[in-house]
Amino acid sequence: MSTLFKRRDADDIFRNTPIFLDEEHLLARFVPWITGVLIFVVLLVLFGMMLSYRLVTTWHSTMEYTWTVQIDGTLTPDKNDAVLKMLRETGGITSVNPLDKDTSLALLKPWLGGDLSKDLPIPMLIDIRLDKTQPLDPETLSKRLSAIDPHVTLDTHEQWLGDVSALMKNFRVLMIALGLLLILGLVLAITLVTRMNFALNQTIIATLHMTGATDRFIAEEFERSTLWLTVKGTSIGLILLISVKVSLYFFGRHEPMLAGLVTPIFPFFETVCVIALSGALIGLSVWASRQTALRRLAKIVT
Amino acid sequence: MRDNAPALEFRDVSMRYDEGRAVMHQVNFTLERGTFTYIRGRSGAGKSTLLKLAYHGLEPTAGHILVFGEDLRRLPRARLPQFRRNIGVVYQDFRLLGHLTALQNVAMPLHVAGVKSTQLRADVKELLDWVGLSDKASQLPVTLSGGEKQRLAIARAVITKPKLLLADEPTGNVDDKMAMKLMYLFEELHKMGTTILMVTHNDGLVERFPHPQLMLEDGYVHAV
Ligand SMILES: Nc1ncnc2c1ncn2[C@@H]1O[C@H](COP(=O)(O)OP(=O)(O)OP(=O)(O)O)[C@@H](O)[C@H]1O
Ligand SMILES: [Mg+2]
Repeated sequence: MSTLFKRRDADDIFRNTPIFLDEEHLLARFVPWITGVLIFVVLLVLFGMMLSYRLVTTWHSTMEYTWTVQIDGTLTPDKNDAVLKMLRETGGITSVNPLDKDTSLALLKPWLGGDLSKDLPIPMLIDIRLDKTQPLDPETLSKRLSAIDPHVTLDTHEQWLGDVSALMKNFRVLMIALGLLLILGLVLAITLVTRMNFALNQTIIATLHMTGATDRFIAEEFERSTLWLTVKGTSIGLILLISVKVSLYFFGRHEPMLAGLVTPIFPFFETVCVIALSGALIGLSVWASRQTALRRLAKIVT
Repeated sequence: MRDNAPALEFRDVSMRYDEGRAVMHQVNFTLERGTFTYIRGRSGAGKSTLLKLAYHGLEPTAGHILVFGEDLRRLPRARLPQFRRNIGVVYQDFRLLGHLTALQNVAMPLHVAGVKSTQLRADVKELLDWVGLSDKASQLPVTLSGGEKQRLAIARAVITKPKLLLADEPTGNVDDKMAMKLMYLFEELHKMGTTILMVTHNDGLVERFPHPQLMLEDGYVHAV
């Protein structure tokens, strides 16, 4: 590795001259693209995982201080008013916001389908905001609500957030497995290319051996070509990833649920992770080609 | 490498390629250091095979080959590069690297040995000048004539100032004048202490530059 990045001055006889040929087979021309797409998907998986983290934390933080009170549509108006009055008088609640029928309908539409009959008993929903400094016990509030009428219930979103968290956890496990599989694919692709280049350059390798080249010298030539190849591949992957992020940004910045996720386009931590992963993938590829070359070379007896 | 061991020793060396008849039967000979020896013999007699065995491009079927006292059978793979840096080989088929320039081909043995190419540029230039190719330094081998390729192969073989030079018909593709010039180069290397083993068919050269000869015939070697 030490001489992999060796400085080559202008007077160097071997400047810009690869000792091995790798342009000749068709695979060589596709390999930067294959590795590029592989690296892109690995980066995308990383991006997806970071997104799922942010999704859960964003929802957590927005929902932690809002609960929803549900009132069965068949309740009498004075019981409705009693609920509202009780909520407004409870300490620890900063705002009580009953959603009107149309808003509730709009919220339910995606679940119940397009044509909602007007006389269907629609539950009334009341959004309540809580004071962070004055924590309220959901059990007590729930009991007081059902004391007014058993059809009044409190939803603290715990259940839902729990479900989402569990779902996201499974999603991340799946993503990690997929990522590892893709990295394995990348290593296999690099190994295959190195083997092909090795076969293609057999005569050159023999001649180099006869002129006193060490296996290390020869392996380094393969490392250099892999380095170049994966740098090209990573650039392709990064360009694809940035395009995805930019289009997500333009697509999602006006959607209230997504805005928090797509801005900023390049969050610091995520950017650092993507750069580190790119570097690691390049390093891994170079290592794989070195190992492949050395293993092949060890088989040559003379 | 032992200090006063002969440059090359064949001890009961037999050679048979995987398929086909034996090329060598229990061949014995010794080349002392600093000698200049010709190998002669008909086409197909096994001259190239003998050189290949000497630079460890082949393992003999039986027997031992010692280069500067080192038994090639016991030479670990890791020490092969160092071993080969002491030996210069002019291959019958040149084995130039087609995608590299004449200059790069000649510089290769020093390059693989880790010599900075800025340092060796002067040496390479001088040697190319010697073999009359300084004006072709940046050309690829395909653009060179047979004789020019041969001279290039010779320049590459001697650039490391090897202790042992194995040359397979190094004057086979050049005219008499160039052949003479190359022979003077070999004589000069010889005077500097290089042990030379050279395959040739050229009787005129042998007469003009008399040296001991080994004759390869029907798988046996005898001195002439
Ligand atoms: N790789 C090989 N596999 C099988 N047989 C071989 C191989 N190389 C050489 N031979 C055979 O070994 C014999 C000696 O070959 P070699 O090349 O040593 O001859 P030579 O004396 O150099 O001939 P020339 O003067 O034509 O170069 C020949 O009969 C040849 O056919
Ligand atoms: Mg021959």
